[in-house]
Parts: sequence; structure tokens; C-alpha cells
Amino acid sequence: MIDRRPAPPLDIFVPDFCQPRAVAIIIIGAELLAFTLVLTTADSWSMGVNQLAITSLYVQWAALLSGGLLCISRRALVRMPTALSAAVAFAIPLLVNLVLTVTAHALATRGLMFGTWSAPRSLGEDLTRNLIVAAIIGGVVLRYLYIRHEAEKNLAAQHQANIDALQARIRPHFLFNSLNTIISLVREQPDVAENALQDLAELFRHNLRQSEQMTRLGDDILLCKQYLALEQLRLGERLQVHWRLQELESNQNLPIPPLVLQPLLENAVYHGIEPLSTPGTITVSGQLIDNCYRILITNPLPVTGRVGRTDLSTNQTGNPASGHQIAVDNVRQRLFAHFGEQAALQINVVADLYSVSIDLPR
Amino acid sequence: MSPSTSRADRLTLLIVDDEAPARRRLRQLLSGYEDYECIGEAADGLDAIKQVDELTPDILLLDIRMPGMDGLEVARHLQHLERSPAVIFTTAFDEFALQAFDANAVHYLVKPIREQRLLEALQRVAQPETSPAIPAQVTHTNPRSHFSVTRQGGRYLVEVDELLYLQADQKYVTLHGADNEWLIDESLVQLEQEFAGALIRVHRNALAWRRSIAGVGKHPNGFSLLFRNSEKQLPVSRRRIAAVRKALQI
Repeated sequence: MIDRRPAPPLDIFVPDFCQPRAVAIIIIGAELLAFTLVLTTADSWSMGVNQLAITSLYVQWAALLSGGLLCISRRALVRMPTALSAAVAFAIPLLVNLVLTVTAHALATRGLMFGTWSAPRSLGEDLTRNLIVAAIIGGVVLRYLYIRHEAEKNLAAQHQANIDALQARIRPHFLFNSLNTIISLVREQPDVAENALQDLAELFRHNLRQSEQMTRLGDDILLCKQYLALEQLRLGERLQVHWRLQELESNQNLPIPPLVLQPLLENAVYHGIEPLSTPGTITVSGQLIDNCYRILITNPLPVTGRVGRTDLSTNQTGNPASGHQIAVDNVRQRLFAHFGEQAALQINVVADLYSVSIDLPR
Repeated sequence: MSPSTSRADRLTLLIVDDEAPARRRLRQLLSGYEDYECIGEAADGLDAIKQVDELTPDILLLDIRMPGMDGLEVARHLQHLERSPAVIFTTAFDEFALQAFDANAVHYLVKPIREQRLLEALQRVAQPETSPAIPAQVTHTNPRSHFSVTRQGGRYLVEVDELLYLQADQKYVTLHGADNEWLIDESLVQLEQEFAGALIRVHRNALAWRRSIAGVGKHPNGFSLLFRNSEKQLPVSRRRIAAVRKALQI
């Protein structure tokens, strides 16, 4: 399969200084800095104009050279660990200032500098002042760029998580197959079709509900039964379900976040039953343990030996465990959001059985 | 026997879908039309191939996602037939592979199937000039689960999972199972690409299935590959022994 997505932006906090926009910002920023420096030191306005000219000359050189070097070295910076690239990005302006200050002094002592500028201070003093200013400005700018980069990354991750959640909630494969099943029933068994449509409506109502409010375990299990009834119509005797929830019988009011069990069951059907030529069994069992309760969903794991087969629907390698992963990750994240470390989700693969167990606090 | 309903002027169909309601739906849709006769149903890929051999239908309504052998692979095997049926794929939603193709290059219907769409597709495939062979990009998207081999005039399917290794001669590739061998007319390079990751190259002319390998044996005159559940051995070239060991993590 050809990946048609655009290449992801380079994951580095140093922006691309080669862009015209970045150059403009550097020039404006440098000029503002020159203004600030002159405003705080100039004795009179008339002196200030001269001082501004010479300060601007120096600061623009320093800023544009630093930007240019960062632009050239960006490819190399990308490959470095973050700490090293930060150190290099920090060192570049210092180096530029070192070279510029030394050059300016050399020019001045040989009388090659125009205007009123003469070096009133020693080279050592100028170097110290300029390097300290460069270090402070460079440090602040780098820190700002880093924070901005992290914020952008978080935003992108959140966006992706939202999309994933939406896709996990509505699996088109299930919707269209169910509709196809129901249509086939409409003429010959209208009452069965009616029931199935009601189940489907119920299921989608829950799936599309944005609320993350807790539901009762009893309600959630009812929803799972409605879901499995739909799959039963479609798959017939190929789908066998064993419910072993006796231990939780008197605990119908236990809290559970919405849509934890149903996506896991959907996974079990999609990856465990559908690829199987012979009938397969999904087992749902419940247990009370100490201060939590556990629900275990087990399904067969077909085509274990066939490495490299791809699943058209997910574009993933056909290893069924990897297909399971998307919904499982989603459920795990939501459990963590609700309960933190108090809830757990575990996956077990033994021979040709795949099982997911979730522990929820009572 | 009524002469008015002779099979000659009706097109015969085989419905292939692993879901009974989906098969029933197609039968319902077809029941109103005199021109088409549904002569059978198959619930998986292997059954479909068997029934095509027996019933020689004109048209196959072929679901893509099925257990065992999927619809794309069924179409791949049927292309070798002298009298291969026209194929209309049916899909629920998830088969993006087909969407890249013009509906005239690959006939496919999305479920739930509309009567009008089904009729249009049937009319199109009935005209051979508009029904070219299915492009290899469609049928070769997945590594196949079976090889189609001919032996003693008959054609049958060998399960990929039963094979130990592949060995190339001058022109053919020999499939080696635990107790049997079959010849196929394909290139080793293409097979290596198709089953990428599942095969290890152990010799210039041989590829072995990773899952079937038990270990590497040493002889006075070289190394050979040992297999699970079989006495067969396959020479490993000296140049590749390190790579083979690394691939097997031994």
C-alpha cells in the first residue's frame, strides 16, 4: 500500500529560519532590541540617533547571521537528541557574537570603521557584555520556541485522539453489514427486522452520546446483549456466546464508564469470529475480587500461523492482535481517564485464545 | 421439462457470501428476473471454487471479506480457468482496495445492495467486451492462502500453511510440503515479494517458510535447514548462514 499522507513536519522545536516570514521577524525583533538598548543608554536624543545606527548594524548582523546558521544547521539539529540540539542552538548566537565583537574591535583599531563609533571599552569588556546579552536573549527565545512546539504537538495529539475516538465509536463495517442483514429480513420476517432496527438505534444512541458519565453495569450488559443479538442475526450459528456473569448478578448497580464492554465485544466478533470458517465462542465472565470487579472477554484467535497477511479494512498486518489494538487502546485511555491507576486492562494470548480482562473499582 | 426455460438463454449465477442474510438478500433481489438464474450459494472461498468447477456459472456475486480464503483470492484462482465466470464483488464498506478502480475495470457493489445497481452490474458483465480481466493489483493485494496447482490433468488447491519451502529450477518453482511436491509456473522473486516477512531466503534458489523451520543442522560439507514435522532437509548456502541464523534468532 502506498502511504499517501503528507510527510509529518520535522519534530524539532527550532523553526525553519529560512522562511521569509522568519527572516522578517528576526529583522523586526533585532531592531526592537537595538531600540531598547539605545533607549536605556543614550545620553541625549541627538547622540541616540547615531548610537541607534551603530547598534542596529551590530544587532542586525548578529541576529541575521545566527538565523542563517540555524537555518543551515537545522537538518543536522533534527537528528540530534533534544538536549544536544538545544545546546547547539544556544551556542550559535554566542559564537556569532564572539566573532562579530572581535571583528568590530579589529576594524575600529585599524580606523576602518566609519562614523563616530570608536571603541571606548576594552575588547574583554565588550565581549563579556555582548555575550551575556546574547545568552539572555537566546535563552529566552529558545525557551519560548520550545514551549510553543510542545503546545503544538499536544494540540495535534489531542486532535488525533478525538478522531480515533470517533472512529472507534462508529465502525462502518458493522453498520452497513447490520443494515444489509435487516433489509434481508424486512419482507419475510418484518417483526425480527423491527426488533433489530430498535437494537441498532439503541446502540447508536449510546455510541454517539458525548457524555462520559458512568452507567450501571446492568445497563451496559443489556446494551452488549442488544449488540450481540444483531451480530447473531448476521452470523447465525457461527457466533456462540457464553455469559458467565452469575457472580455479578446481585451487583447490577456497579458503576462502569459507557462503551467499555461493547467495543471489546465488537473486536472479539470482528477479529475472532468473522475470520473463522467454523463456529466460534465468545465468553463473557465476571468476578468479584477484593475491592474491584473483573470482566473477562475471551475469543478465538484465528490464522495465527499466517504472518504477513494484511487486513484490507485496517491496512495492518493480519496479525489479529494488532487489529485489536486500536479499540483496546481507546478503552484503556478512557479507563485511565476515569479511574487512574485504580482500573486495569490486561490482554492475554494463550494458544489460540485471546482474552481481555478489565478490573474496575467497586 | 419445459423448453421455454432452457438454460441457454438465461445467465446463471453463483452467490458467494459468508453471511446467510446477505445471500438471502441477493436471492430476493434476483427472484423477480427471468433472465438470471441463481444456481447455487457458497459460504466461503474454497466452497465457491468447488462449486464453480461443478456448476460453471456465468456470473459470480462474490463477497470480499470471508473466512479462510477471501473473495479477491477466489477471483485470482478463477482467472486460471478456461471458462472463468464474470465476477461482481460485493462489499460492506471496508474494501478500500477496490475504490481506486473504475467501476468498469472491476465490478463491485456496496451493501446494502440496491436492486437497480445490481441489474446494471449484471447487464454490464453480460457483455464480455466491457468485462476485461480483473487487474492483478486487485487480486494480488494479499498474499494468497492457497496455491492453484495442476496435477494429472486436474487442478486443485494446496494450502500455503502446509508448505515447508520453495525451490526454483530452470523454469519452475517446486512447492515442498511435508510429504509432497508440486510444480508451479511462477518466479521465486515474485513469491518472495508476495510472502514478504514470512519467507527466509536460505539459498540462491530456495525460500523457506519461517514458521515451519525447526533449526539449522551442521554437516561435514555444509549446513542444512531442518523442518518441523518432516524429515526433509534443505541446504543452506554458506553465504547466507549468518543471515538465516539471525532471522531465526538462533
